[in-house]
Amino acid sequence: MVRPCVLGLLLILLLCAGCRQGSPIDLESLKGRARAGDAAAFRQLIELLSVSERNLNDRVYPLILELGEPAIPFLLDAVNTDDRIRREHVIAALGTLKASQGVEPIGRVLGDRTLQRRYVAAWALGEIGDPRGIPFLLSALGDEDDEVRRYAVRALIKLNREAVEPLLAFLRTASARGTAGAVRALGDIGDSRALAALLQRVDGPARQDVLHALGKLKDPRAEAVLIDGLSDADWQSRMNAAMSLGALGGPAASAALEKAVEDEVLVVREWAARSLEMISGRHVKYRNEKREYVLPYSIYH
Amino acid sequence: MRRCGCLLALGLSFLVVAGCGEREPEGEGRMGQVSGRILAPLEGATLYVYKKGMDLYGPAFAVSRATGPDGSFDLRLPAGDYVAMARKRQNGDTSGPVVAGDNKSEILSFTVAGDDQTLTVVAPIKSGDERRLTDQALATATGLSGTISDADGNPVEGARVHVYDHVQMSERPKYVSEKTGPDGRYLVYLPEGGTYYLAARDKFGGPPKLGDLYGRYDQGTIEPSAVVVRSKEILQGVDIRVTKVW
Repeated sequence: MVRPCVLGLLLILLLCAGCRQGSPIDLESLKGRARAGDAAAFRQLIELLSVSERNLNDRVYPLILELGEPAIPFLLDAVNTDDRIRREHVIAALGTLKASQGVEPIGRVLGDRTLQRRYVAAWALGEIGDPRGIPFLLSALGDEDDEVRRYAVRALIKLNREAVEPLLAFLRTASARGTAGAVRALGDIGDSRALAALLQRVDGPARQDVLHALGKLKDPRAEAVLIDGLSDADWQSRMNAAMSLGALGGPAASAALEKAVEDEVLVVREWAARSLEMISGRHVKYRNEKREYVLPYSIYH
Repeated sequence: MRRCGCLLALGLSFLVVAGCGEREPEGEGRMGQVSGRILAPLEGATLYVYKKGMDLYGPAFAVSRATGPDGSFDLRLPAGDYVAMARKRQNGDTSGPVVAGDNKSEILSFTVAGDDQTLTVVAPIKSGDERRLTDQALATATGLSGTISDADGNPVEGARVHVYDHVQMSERPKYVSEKTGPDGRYLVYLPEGGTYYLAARDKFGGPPKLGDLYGRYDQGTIEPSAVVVRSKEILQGVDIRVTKVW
């Protein structure tokens, strides 16, 4: 009599345990409670951002974005969490929601080189677009993590003209790594205020980037320096010079590019032909690997 | 006794099945051939509708809901000329390459002029694989290799490198690598050297969506970095980091 009772009890316990383990989280209900202002529901949703199993955090993240501005204070509370995955999602949400209150805490995360996944902090500062984020992004241009540097460049480009003067000031004391990032950002922003600073650095360690960036400024005052770049010993510098001259070159550039169409490196010949066409408006052929003279294809649709 | 009963039942079944089989009709005179196919409705297929002239490998103009058990679909479209294809991928994806084992219809052309119309779409199972996979270019000995890693710098399994020859990278990739293994390594063979632009992602087809893993080979600039590959060279160390699309 005792044995069946014990067995029955065990079965009930097992069932209960099984139910608890498998019970799905009702995300819609949590979202509904959060929408009604339930702080605990907001916090629970943000906790779930660390759960990668079954892509749970991928399902929670859009819900938080849907909740919008009311979620921001709770996200700000969680910016400094030790959980790198939750922190990544929290910062991404603050960026997507363009929460300018997040600039300082996100900037501090970006600057803390002991933390992982800091790239998202640079990304978020670009999305928020608040100039108070610029100093953090400038520091990140010299970061050891190339992903952080990449996103910092992108964010500064998004901040656009607001970032030009700070970038120029930063260049005066920047490391070689920081200089390369700043030059790339200035090139894509395309503001003529950057011309003098770029020309000053054309013989420095960021030469390839400078030659590329000068083309994006489209300022004819860079023509002589770029023509000189066509004779560089480094083929990538020659390629960048050839590429840039198409955007700003005149008759002198055309003459130099005519010679570059016979460069020993295929891609330099190809870019020289492409740029000559841009300057002169006539089709220019170059010699391909099979020694056939062909037209360059348009890299744009 | 029980064994005998089973054998008897088995024998009877064979007889019944044989009786239900194909039978030549009895009769006199000339015989004519009647042949064809009996088709069953396809559940879980999607109809992709494109405006005439659109790239059938790019995003569709309109996409139906997955068909139900009766294979039916229903779409409302503005007047115009269209082409459509039905596809059903075994992996459940709604985009990406159609590979052997998936269902794929022929291209259907139709015009919508404000009236209702009914299409019957035949989507047989694809037996070959026409993806432009890179091993087809193996003999060239030209290509790219590297590692795809995640936000922590760990290798990503199951991602592909997409290779473009246009800087906007908005068209269909020119070449696509095989999926990476656990070491995140990829190797793309190319038919010739040239200037290429790269992206790595865990999904195939359409623009990257929220939560997808995606990364471009660039240095943060608006345009991707050009990767120059020389003929007869496998350019190594072209590593790409993927992060979630936020």
